[in-house]
Amino acid sequence: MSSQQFTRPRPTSNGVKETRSIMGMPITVDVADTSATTGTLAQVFAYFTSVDERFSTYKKTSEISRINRGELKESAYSGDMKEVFALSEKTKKETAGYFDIRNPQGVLDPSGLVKGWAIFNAAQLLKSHGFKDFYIDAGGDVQAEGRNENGTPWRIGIRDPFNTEDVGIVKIVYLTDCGIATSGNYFRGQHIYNPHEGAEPINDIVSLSVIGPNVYEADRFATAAFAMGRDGISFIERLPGFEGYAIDREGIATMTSGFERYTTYAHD
Amino acid sequence: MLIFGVYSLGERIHDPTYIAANAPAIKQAPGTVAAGSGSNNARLPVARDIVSVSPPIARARGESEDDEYGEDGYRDTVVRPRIAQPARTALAISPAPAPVQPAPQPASRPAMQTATNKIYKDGTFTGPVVDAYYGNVQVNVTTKSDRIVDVQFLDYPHDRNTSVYINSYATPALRSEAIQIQGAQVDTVSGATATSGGFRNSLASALAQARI
Repeated sequence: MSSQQFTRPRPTSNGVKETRSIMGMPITVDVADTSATTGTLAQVFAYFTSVDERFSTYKKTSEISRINRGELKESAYSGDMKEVFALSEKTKKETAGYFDIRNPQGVLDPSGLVKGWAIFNAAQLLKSHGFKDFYIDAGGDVQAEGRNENGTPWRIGIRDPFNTEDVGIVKIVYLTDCGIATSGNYFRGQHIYNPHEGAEPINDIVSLSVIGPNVYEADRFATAAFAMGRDGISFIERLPGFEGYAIDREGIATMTSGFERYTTYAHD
Repeated sequence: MLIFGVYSLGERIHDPTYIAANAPAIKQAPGTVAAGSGSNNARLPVARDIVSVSPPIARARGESEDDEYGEDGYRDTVVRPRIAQPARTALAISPAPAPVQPAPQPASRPAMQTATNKIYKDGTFTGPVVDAYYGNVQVNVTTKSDRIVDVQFLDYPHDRNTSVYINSYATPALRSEAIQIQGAQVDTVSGATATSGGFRNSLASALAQARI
């Protein structure tokens, strides 16, 4: 399977699909509803661009960069920024500090929450326009609604964490009206640190996929659970309404007890 | 607000159907086909139901059953899977032992029981063998003073094609498998990316240091 290419908007057998690079990652929107147009996609991408402009720590002019430089007082924060900070605080409490947007250097970086939050909002945008069958994939986090062009639940592959050259798949899940997020460290450079152990790298678990009622919920708990190392999958097991699939560095996967409800679907 | 599990061991039993001697709820995953011949997708009777979010208090070797009760008369949970023995350490007397693994919240102590109309006999009761899809599950449950004070797995799934890892944190064994490359078509892929915040920040810091 070739790696994702950034695509021009193109019609699928029903609907439209396009991939663009925004927020430093490929974002794919595939709308199966026959009434979808390329204009539909453009609206979704415009939303992601606005999120990037506000939350990118890579952009000097972003609101988050200005906050990190101390140039903005709290009363001047945007509504979206306040919302993301409040959600981050809530998640930090619910995960006993394992989710924390402040990194060891003291810099605020809410990208672990913003990604899922933005996808969720973009999905709400599509739903508000009456679209029912679509997925949005931003950097491997997916919100799947309704069914694909073939009338089946959306088929999501969990990526092989040991193949960084090509995209390999080690598990397939069938999703409708829910979200999946995968946290991992199989690219060069650890990108998730354990807030309880300073800058120590996590390397017991190389990939943790979480399926939840929506991609925002899945994303925030996947980020936190991944920071817990081997205990993360137990954390997801104890979380009602969430399932998980963790892969360790030996290539052994551990799944929560309800995970397999997603690995098949009833054929009509 | 999150709800972690339904009962803690030591909490007063409110649901009379909990005791494993009664048939556990059948869990039928929507849209799935039961594997194997004629088996129900019966739910592991202890999965998610008796989760304690505080770590088990292990007994020191040689201590008797009565020593398991802390000074307030309530015992914390021990779940003993058949093969792995929990590490033996000195009995902790303090009411809130520090968790050795991350716990979202420590379990709050149940209120002192004052009612004299007991619902459950004290003792140990064996549940039926239940087909839990990957194998059989059977548990013993021990009750005292209307509280579940112990659960023991007499049987649990250990399929020959999977390795079963036993979590030391009072969660029943989760199923494991060696990952296998799939060849089938998918609509999209879920995987981690290299561009999440921490990586970008550390890259940015490194670049800043590299500036002349």
